[in-house]
Amino acid sequence: MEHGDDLVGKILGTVTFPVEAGKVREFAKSLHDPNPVFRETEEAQRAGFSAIPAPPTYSVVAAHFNEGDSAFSSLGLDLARVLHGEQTWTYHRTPVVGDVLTGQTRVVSVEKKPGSRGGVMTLVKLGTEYRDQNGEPVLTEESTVIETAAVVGGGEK
Amino acid sequence: MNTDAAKPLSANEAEVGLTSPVYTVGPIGRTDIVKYAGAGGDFNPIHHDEVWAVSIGLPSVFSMGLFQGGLSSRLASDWIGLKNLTSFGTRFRSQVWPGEVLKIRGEIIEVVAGPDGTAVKAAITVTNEDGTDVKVQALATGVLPR
Repeated sequence: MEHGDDLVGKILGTVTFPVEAGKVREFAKSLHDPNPVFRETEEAQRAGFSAIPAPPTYSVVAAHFNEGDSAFSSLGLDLARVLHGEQTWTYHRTPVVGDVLTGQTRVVSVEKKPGSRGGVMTLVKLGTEYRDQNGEPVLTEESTVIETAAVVGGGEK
Repeated sequence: MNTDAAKPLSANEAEVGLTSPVYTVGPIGRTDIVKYAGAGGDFNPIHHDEVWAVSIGLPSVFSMGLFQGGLSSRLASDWIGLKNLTSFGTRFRSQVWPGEVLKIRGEIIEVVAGPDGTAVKAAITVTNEDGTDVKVQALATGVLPR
């Protein structure tokens, strides 16, 4: 990645996606989470939700609804050297089936550091605030990706 | 096979140092990684295209940090309560390779009683089977109803 500070504040795109029962079930199942609240409306209501809730990390499914380039490629990151460092969700409320979430992703910060084995590594923090169909905030997602100086995982930890 | 769900934590029993039951997941197979790719939408070939992964010098594909991060979110939603969660953060420390068995455990590290309920902070870790390799460090915060 050649750019740096000039990327801070750059808007990488806006995505809108519905919270869907089939996707919630598939997502929970893929995470080995057998909780019936992610499968049955009655169970969800018993747990105090108006509809089937989304698991805590569900908003990552937005990747399915981005038709353009991925954030990685639009930033010029080299996939063979990219590691996902961190991801954090802050909730105003739990999204539920029937919600339609819209989020705009922007570059929060870009930091360059010396790599542990020489070269330069770049840390890029992206932030997305998701609002519902009524414009009310639902959750904020922050993600840090690291472009390492060398190919990832080649025997290093 | 899934580990039984942790019992939901109540405001009365929340105290610093309290630990959760340990969840065991695995051995993680390539199919688990591919299922998560399909569910979540991460199609970076480093996680499913073994031919390409080997061609760039890796021993095999490895799972997405968000996969094991998501596995640990189950403990957060079972134990702290999905409805009570105010934040969930994951830091990916080392890769998970096919064949590994993962252990997920939590510990309460902060408890603050307030007028709207008891705010708790739980440190959750995902490690390899014998606990020597930390894969994910997660932090869950929530407010338990009075």
